[in-house]
Amino acid sequence: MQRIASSSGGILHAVPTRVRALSGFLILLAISPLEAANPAAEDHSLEVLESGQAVIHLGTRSRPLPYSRSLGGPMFALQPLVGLLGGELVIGPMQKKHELRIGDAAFLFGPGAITVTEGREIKMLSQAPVAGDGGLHVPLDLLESLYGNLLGYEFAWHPGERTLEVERRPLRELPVTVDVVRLQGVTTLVFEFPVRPRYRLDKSAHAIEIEMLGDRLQPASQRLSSTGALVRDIVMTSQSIRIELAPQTVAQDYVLENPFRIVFDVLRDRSGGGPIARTQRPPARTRRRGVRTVIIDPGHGGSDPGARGGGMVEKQLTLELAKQLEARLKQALNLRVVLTRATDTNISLDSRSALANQYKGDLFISLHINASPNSSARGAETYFSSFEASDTAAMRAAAADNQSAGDPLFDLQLMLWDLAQSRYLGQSQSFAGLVQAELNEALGLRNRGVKQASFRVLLGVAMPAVLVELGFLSNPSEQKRLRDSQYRGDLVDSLVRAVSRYKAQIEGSPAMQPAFSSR
Amino acid sequence: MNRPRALQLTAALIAAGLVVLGIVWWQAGASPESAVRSGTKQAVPAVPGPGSQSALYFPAASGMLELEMRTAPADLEPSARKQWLAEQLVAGPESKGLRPALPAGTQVASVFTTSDGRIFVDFTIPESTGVGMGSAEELLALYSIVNTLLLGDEDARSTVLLINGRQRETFAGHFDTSRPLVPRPDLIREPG
Repeated sequence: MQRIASSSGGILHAVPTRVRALSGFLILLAISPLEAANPAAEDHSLEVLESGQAVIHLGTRSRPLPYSRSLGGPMFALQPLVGLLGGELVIGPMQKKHELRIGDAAFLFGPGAITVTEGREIKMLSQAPVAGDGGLHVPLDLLESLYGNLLGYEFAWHPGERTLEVERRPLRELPVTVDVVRLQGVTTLVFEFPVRPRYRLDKSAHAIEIEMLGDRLQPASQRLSSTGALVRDIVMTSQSIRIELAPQTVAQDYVLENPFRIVFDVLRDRSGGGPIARTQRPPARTRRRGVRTVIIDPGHGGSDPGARGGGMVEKQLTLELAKQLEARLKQALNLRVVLTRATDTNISLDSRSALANQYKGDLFISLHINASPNSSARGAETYFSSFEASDTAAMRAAAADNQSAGDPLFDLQLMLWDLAQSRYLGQSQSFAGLVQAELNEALGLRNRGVKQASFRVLLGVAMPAVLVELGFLSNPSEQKRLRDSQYRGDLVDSLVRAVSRYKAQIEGSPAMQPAFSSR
Repeated sequence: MNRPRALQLTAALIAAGLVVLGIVWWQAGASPESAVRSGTKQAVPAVPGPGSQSALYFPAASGMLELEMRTAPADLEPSARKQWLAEQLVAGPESKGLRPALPAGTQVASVFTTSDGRIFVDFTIPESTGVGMGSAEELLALYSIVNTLLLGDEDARSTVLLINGRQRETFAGHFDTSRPLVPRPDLIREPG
């Protein structure tokens, strides 16, 4: 077995020792396909179009570097690079298995193999490495995986000069803030960074570790112990954040942007499954992927009449439309439908959102009829919620205002809002577009478009959610149409078609014909 | 002129001079305290001064907010001025084409401003009335209040809306009013 080693280890202590402990068995498993060297195994190598010598510039040093080029781009001899950049390269018999160890991390790859394996992670490469002058030639993205993430090297290839510029990124000291929100049996941990850090998640039984790759955390050391029954401990060092979970818990992780946040929802594991398998995100969502339950929210009710016009009251119209929609969705799409109110009663907006979440809806539709001081205003509008709302400036200013004032309640609300609806913004927007298209095309309503606003009822809904304004009671001609039961039926049919099309998008199943294609 | 007549004329002139001197002394030689008292009395105008122009924004038939200028009493403290503005909103617009922002029967319970520029305004609305608005109406009503109280006042940053003494999740069933609101100048129609 051939070994090529370098003394330049970089910040190898950043890799936790636990990886080494885990790696033995997993590496053996991962190596076996390469070690088998099965001649019948598929070779993903592309035809080499050119080979020769390039030059590598690393700081003030320059070295010749064998390289080759295929249709997939340039590849570079790995062994000279290991000598320059660090690590230990172990080459198996017949030059098939290559294992590069950088600190505690071990990467497995080989000629003709389109993947690189590190621990449990398997990554696709842009092209398979090939054997060439000076040993194995590897593509740039593999170099970035090997040396970019762990040691902070950046690579730039200049094909005209055949030079590979390598620079080490400056070490960044990143402040991190931690928020812990406990609500309705879920503990949500939010780690916020000013910029996206280079990191790796390592999940194991009852613990999650965010390992910094070439970045350091500020403050260097911190410990949060009062994090509730589901999270035992959070220990932060300059190189990692370790989250100790209580037994019988599962964690779902995801990221949010602007600012960058890594978020974990920790909850009781009621399935009895093992914690490692259950930490993959998001088990709850995966189980109910698709549209099975639709929540319909008839706007207003009780002492809140909503808009009035032409002797009609919004709360009555929305309830009637909701009941029709419920029946049509059950009949046409065999869906489970839940109404937030079935009678003329007061229900707070937050209670409606909570009810939708409690019933684990897959889609939330709030029905409204508009009114404006401008009696010529007409048409339908479909809204979805967003922090980046149409009133962005106002929202940002409000956020800044409240943050500076240190309003913890507002912070909590923002947090819940972020964590609930913002996860579904893309799907909400997609569904809003379908609703608006159906209303426009089928009913000839003036297209007032898909919009965003801070509707309270959408704020805490943890599913794709829209609010539909189905016309203006302040407009005499729309009053007349809304009084017509046939027209109201057409409105309902438009919504059913929109749900059907959205369901088909999500589930990949056939949808009802859109209104405009039948014309 | 005979001698006794000349003496009489001289004595009269001296007496007149003494009277004038006495008056001048009375005017010029008064104590500072008496001057303040005098000044204070004279500073109270018999008729209020011209006051200052204040901008109010009301929902309009254009579907946006439109400006109505009113003259506020000149001697209002900042907090009293906010109270006056809120009361003007409740009183409703005077211009044709403008609509009231608040339902009939609304009263201003209180207005106060915190040191960091947050204005709390508490409206009393009879529970039986019900606000009853479409979302377009609610948006204009909210920002009629917020824009009127905040725009043009560099020290005012946000408005917290209270109804019958407490902050609510929404004013009329649509928009979130559980957080302080900042102005929306984009809802104001440009004149002309």
